[in-house]
Amino acid sequence: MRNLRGMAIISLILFSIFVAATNGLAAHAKWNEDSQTIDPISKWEKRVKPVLDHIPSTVTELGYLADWDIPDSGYDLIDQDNEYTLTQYSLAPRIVQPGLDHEWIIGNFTNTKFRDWLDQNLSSYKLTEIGFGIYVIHRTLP
Amino acid sequence: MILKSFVVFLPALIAGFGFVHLFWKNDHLAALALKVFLGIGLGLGITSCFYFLRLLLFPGQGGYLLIEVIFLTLVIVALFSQKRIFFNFSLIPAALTRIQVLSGLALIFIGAVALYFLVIYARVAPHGDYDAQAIWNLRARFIYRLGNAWENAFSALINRNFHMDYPLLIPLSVVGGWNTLGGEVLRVPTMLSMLFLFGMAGIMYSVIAYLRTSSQAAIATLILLATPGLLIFSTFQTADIPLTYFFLASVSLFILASHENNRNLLFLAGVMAGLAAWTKNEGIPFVVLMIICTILVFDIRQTRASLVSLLTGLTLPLLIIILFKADISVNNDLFSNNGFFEIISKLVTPSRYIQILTYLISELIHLGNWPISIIAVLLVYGRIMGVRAPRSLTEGVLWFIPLSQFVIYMLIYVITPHDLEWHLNYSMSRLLIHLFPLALLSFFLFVNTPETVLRSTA
Repeated sequence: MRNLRGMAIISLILFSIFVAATNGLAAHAKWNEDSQTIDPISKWEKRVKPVLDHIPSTVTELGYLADWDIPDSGYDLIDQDNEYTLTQYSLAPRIVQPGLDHEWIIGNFTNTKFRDWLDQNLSSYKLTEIGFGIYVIHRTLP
Repeated sequence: MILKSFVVFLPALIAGFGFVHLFWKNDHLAALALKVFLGIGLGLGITSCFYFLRLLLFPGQGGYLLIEVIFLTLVIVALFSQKRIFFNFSLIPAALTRIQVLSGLALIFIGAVALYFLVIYARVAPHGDYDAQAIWNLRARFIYRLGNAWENAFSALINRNFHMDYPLLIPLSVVGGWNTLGGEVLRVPTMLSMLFLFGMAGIMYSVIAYLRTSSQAAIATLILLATPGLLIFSTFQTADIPLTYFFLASVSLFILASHENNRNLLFLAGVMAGLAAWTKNEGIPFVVLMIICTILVFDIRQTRASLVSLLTGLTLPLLIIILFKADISVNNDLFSNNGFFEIISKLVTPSRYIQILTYLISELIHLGNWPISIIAVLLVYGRIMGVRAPRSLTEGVLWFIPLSQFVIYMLIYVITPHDLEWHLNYSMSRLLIHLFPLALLSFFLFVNTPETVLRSTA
């Protein structure tokens, strides 16, 4: 029994060392994969922050439109939700609300039908392209 | 920047250590180590409470460092007045057994790997995970960037998905760090994650070393730090690991309070439980459980005095939580849009229990992302090593806290207003990780130690 217990202790320690080593190797592989690239969150911030150059600094609330607003556009809900969250994260303390009820709206589109959809839903607006599918939409009439 | 991010919090950490030392007159080496690790959460937690008061009372956001220094000064003055400024411990090394050397070396290796893991992730994912961007670091950004108008960080106009009602220990510690360093340094939330992870490991080690043996402590801690899921959650920069830390700290102090019949330790357990509630809403039921345990465990003649000690410890954090909840008028997502009859209807729907149970079994098998079920491994280990009989009522009811918290978590799933499948997917692995260190602590306090079984001739 004493030997069995000794073996149990050694086995548990060795098993933990093995799993820890696997963790270390996984982290090392992650480093090799990603160390040369900018992390996706910082990348998104770089894409979306330039919208503020086109919006008056007094504006504290912004609308947000994306592919999820356009009927029949195929989109991944998780991706869309992540991008909305990252937009709010990047632009805080400005409040970013989904929908087109605001004078200043951020558009995030990959779907090319978005212009037709905007024409149908907004009576008058000015569209500024920022790049990477990001737009500033300024409603010029309520 | 990582070193600067550590130095920013150093006065709070020392003050936290001093505060624990003030209330626990024990200079045993393991007790001193335990005080250091308890001081991490206590120092950061108390500082964040006072920083919140400062934000409420005065304009601007500066003064985090000043609060830390005042806290530290008060603690030092109190230590001097109580003649507790010097330590009286001996460093004469005891003869180490082979198993103590082996488990100690294994722990050093696994601790180093855990540190490497966190440093790598801090570089490749400096903003943490989705919840950090949607809740914790987002809140810190709102508060920091709004300056004097920081209360607008809780505007009703902000999308409800960003959980404006979540408490502020972590976001305010980040804001305090940023204000002291003069900018949004990404390493500040990373440093907090590291402090809480290694603080938790330190508590695990020193409390078991104090109550049992050093090799038992090393084995429990190396399992904790080798757990892949725990390491990953530590890189997320969310409040889950700090919450887990406070659960473990509070329960450890509770056990010690009973072990040493010391109500000062119960006071500290109360502080830690309160800080758990100031970290995440899941801490609120934990506070209730700690109160119930105090009533159950302590002798009927001592119950009132014990309860007073615990409640005194809870006072500051609970007061801060009440002020915070009164100051913001955002309802919790679990209880808004979830009427009484809706909740009752969910409680009597068997299919919900079956769905939760099915998911739970799968999560328990993969608990902590171990390649083989860690529960099965520990059950086999416990069977071989044998268990010791509980020596006090506290030890007897030690499982009550994690099990009750677990039941509460499962009940929340039953009544959740969210899509159940989504909610289970989104959070169950995290919630189980909250309880994993508590379960490990309970397990290794019961299982026979290597010293005991290797000495026996059976």
